Amino acid sequence: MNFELIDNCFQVAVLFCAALAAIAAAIRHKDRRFLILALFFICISMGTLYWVLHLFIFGDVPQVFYVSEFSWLAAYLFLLSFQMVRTDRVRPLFSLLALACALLTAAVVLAFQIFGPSYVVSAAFAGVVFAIVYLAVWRLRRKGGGGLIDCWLLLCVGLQLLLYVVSGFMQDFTRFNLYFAVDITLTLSFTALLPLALREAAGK
Amino acid sequence: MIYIENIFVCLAIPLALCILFIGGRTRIFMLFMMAGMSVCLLSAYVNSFFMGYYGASATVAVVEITPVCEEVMKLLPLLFYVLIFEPKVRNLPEAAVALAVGFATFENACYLTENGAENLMFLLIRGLSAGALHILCGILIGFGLSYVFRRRWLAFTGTVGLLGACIVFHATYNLLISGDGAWQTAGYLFPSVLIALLFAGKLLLPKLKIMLE
Repeated sequence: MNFELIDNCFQVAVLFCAALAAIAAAIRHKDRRFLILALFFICISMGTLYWVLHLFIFGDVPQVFYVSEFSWLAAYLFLLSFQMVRTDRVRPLFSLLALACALLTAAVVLAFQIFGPSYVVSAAFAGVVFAIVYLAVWRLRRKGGGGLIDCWLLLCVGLQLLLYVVSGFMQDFTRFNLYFAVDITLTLSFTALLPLALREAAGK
Repeated sequence: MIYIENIFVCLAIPLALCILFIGGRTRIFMLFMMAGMSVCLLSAYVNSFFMGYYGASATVAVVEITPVCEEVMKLLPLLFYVLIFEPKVRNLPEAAVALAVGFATFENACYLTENGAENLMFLLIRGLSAGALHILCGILIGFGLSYVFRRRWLAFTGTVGLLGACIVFHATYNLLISGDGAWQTAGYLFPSVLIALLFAGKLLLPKLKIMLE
């Protein structure tokens, strides 16, 4: 069986379970942050599901509008919303290091046209990861503000970028290779956000 | 070929007349139903434009173009309502669902005009699937907006995120019903199943005294 399908099915299944767990956490802790995290997991898994189904039903990937990319972009917007809710009632101040990291990330996104080939989607993604990285680095530098979850968010963004960079150097997607190793690591890293958020909620 | 403008006039005039004699929340509901029908009409034009622009076939348009255009078009009247009239956020779910009802009703009316009303089973399936899908997206957008517009800085990211979620739900449904056999059955069932789950959650959560903060 084509390894691309195995990888995508694994991603859909794992993130769907993570979404269910996040909904359960939202109900148990009566906290909407987990609901936002659940929407993040749902959007990532639905985007991948759409891609896989298109491949199954039509035998080809979508060619005209990039529905999966819209969905993944929406997922990152929910991740940004999650970060914003965590930074609620704290006014983010200027940080040169945070700005430099965020600009570098956005530049990589634009250089490799991540979530492209549409420039609009790629630029939108650059804006979203810029904000996520800025907030994460700013929180880490703030005294007593940052936590493991901010480092983890940076890792997730880094892996997402790496995935697209690696995909540019791969030819054969039918067998296991570095691309799939990065993709599986990324999926598991996304899932790990939930226990980290639970730990943060318990700490508070 | 069907004359959707004529169907629109026929359906919208009674609604426009009744708006003159009703008030309050019912009037808002009716207005949004009419807005939903208008949006459905305009979406048909936008879809046709992109179909011609990309030279896409009918199947490609249904699977890839229609969900994006329709969901973006459905969001615009709601955003106008929220940003210009600044209503109470608790009224947003009603407005979003009314918009979805208007959209689904007009779409079904056009479908009936084109395909006839002989096959009850098929029309029942259509009502429970396509109709339910628009309601599902309306619920998602309505309740989502009512949350994200409570916090101004969350409004932009939340709104675009919700739009993306609606697009992918709509696109997955269209993709599944474009397939055959089990895929089609799954496509017909999934909006109704999700609505049933949401309804169960809506009934159960207050009984269990669970309110999300």
